[in-house]
Amino acid sequence: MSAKPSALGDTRAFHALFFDEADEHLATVEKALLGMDPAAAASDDLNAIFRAVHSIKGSAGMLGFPEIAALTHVFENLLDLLRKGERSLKREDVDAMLRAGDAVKSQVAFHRGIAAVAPDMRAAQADLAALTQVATPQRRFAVTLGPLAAPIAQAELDLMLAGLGEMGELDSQDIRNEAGGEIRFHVALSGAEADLQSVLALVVAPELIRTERAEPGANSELFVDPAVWKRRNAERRRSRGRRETDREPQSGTHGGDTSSIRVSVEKIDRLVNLVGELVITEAMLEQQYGRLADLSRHTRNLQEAVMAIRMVPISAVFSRFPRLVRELSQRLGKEADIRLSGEATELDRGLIERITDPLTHLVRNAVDHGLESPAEREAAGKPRGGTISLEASQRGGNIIIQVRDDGRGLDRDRILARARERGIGIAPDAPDRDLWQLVFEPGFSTAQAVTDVSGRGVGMDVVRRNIHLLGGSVELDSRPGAGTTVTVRVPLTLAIIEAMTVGAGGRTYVLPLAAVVESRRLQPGEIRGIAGAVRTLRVRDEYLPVRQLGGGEELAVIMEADGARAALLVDELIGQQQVVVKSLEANFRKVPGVSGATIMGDGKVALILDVAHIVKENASASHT
Amino acid sequence: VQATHEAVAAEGREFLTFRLGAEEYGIDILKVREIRGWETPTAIANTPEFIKGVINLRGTIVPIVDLRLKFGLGDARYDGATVVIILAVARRVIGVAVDAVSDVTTLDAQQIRPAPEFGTGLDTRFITGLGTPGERMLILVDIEKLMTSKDMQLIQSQPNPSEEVHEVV
Repeated sequence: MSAKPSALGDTRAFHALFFDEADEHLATVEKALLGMDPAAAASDDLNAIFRAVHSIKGSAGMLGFPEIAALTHVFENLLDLLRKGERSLKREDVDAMLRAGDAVKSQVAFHRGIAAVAPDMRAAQADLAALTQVATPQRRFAVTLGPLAAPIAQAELDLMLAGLGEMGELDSQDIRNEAGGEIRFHVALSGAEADLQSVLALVVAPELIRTERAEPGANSELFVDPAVWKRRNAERRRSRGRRETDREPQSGTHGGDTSSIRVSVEKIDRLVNLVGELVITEAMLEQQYGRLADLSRHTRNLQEAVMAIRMVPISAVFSRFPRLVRELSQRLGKEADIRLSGEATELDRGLIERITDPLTHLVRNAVDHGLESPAEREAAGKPRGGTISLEASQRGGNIIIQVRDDGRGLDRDRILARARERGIGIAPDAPDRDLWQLVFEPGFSTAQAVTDVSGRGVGMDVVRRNIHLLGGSVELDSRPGAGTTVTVRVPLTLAIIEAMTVGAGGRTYVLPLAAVVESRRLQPGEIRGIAGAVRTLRVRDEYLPVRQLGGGEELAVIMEADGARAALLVDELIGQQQVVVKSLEANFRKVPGVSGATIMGDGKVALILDVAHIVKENASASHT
Repeated sequence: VQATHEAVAAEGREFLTFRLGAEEYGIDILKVREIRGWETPTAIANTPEFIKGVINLRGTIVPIVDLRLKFGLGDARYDGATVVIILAVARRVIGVAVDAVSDVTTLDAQQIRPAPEFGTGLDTRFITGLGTPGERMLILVDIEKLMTSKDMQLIQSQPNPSEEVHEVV
């Protein structure tokens, strides 16, 4: 797990930062790779990738992650070839680079402690290495420098020859280092020809350099004409200059146009929790002393501002789809393009995490079921390549996400047939709307063949359930031959809390996990009365007030809020989960002891208990 | 309230009519969002008996009030016939359980009589008049005023009295 010690001593403090940066760079790499057209690779893209990979390599080496450094080194080699036009970009290059990116990503995940097993990076490395090898088999060059106007300083000459010796094999040396003389030698290189040129140019004026392929049998074509070399060199200098200026705006900001700082999610969540507590405290004050207008307003504003920090652009989810579509369509023998819009639409971070799976499923479906094969499309008079478009927008308090394909559309007849098979009663002339709803029924799949992508009939119902859990809805619209559109609607303002769900009196209640200290199974007689009225439970050396939620006296959840504790007797511990906090006050009012409500998986409402209130109520009760 | 009367007199309005026990009531159709069957709500402690709890209405938490319990009319049975009227009042969504929904009736000014003082559970403050289409007698209720009143305990009590006046208009 831990990195090897490095020259910097204890570098662990930098690791988290490196991981974050590496992830960011890898995202850049992936985005650029996916956006690249092999037919016309833009040097800007290649340069962007090169910069990102180079940064990772540098930090990895420094912080003692040799595996990452080694892989990124080979990665860089390939990029270098591509960048310099030594190798033309092919699809296999993009694939290999994507795989290499993945390998680095999983290596980072491993070092972060997310993944348990160290990934094997060798395959990815070998792939890249193979590509760089193919590009440059060892080539022999016959080099002629001269005629020299004056002898070259011996030290410089030695340095040059030593440098070439490192790059490849040097032989057949014929050095006449004198005015009017020539320096000739053969060198066998696996590196780029441009590298050779640049080393030579260190000591000799470019116009005096002649390099020739020296393979026996190879037609000894003049590899670089001095005039061409000169022109290229000038171009290269220009492009290098441009690269340097490109770099400038990169250094301070991370792609965005506003300045930002990186803050850990834990800190933000803590802030959100604290503000949540403040809101509850404010509510309690209000109950005791009546409405405190200013306090109330400031608290709400603060809460909104804090919640806004959690908002993340949906591009965080969308960015994974170009790759998904690319790989899926490749695997399925289809051609597909993806169009994204509204990527800047913001939604809650918690929501982002929970909407990723349903959206992924929808995109998969669109490629697998929606799009036809290129041949079918051509036969139908459509372009061979299909288009998947993802669109996000905010409408009022909702985020609307549409996943659209221009494929074959849903097949009414097949859905009807499938419905009959499954014994679902629906009229043959039912409106489309009703018919499409069937697609969301559990086990309902009209895929003709089960592929490894989809078609098992578990999917759309899970999508719908997950979206419903977020308090959202999902609708489907389809026209034969024109395609299918799935519209997902989720609320924008939502807070998700980690919660413990308990059962009591046949109902489900939700306790914020942050307020739960422990749960205990009680022995008979553990709960004692004080003065016949107040009941207490002894936990270690503390007598806690007891609050009854259901009828049982065997299970107690010890809760803590505002520094006070109480034991809540429940009938059943159901589990831990994240729940979406819904306001009771939107349509109703505050209820003492209840901080909000949530909608459970079965669509029922469960109340979220106000632990602070319950603990306080007991504390005051035990004093009377 | 007087202004409301005049508005009614001028145009004639549509009322959704429903039964509570033996009595028939009418409320402004524009306040009605939808009508649903009964589903058991999640009960909430520390609330009056007539507040049956909350339901999940397409992702929003909506309180359900049983007017039969509130006004002591009929017996509050919950079966296939029980109907929940979802109201949109005062920017809130509230469900009201009643015995049955009858129909939608248009009443013009001549068909609306002032309400006498009478001893039903329903406070005359909330009664805007008696509708008399044919032989029927509809008790016309200002449902928004009723739902936002202190008696219903549906809304955080506002210490500012001017707030309540606003709600009615």
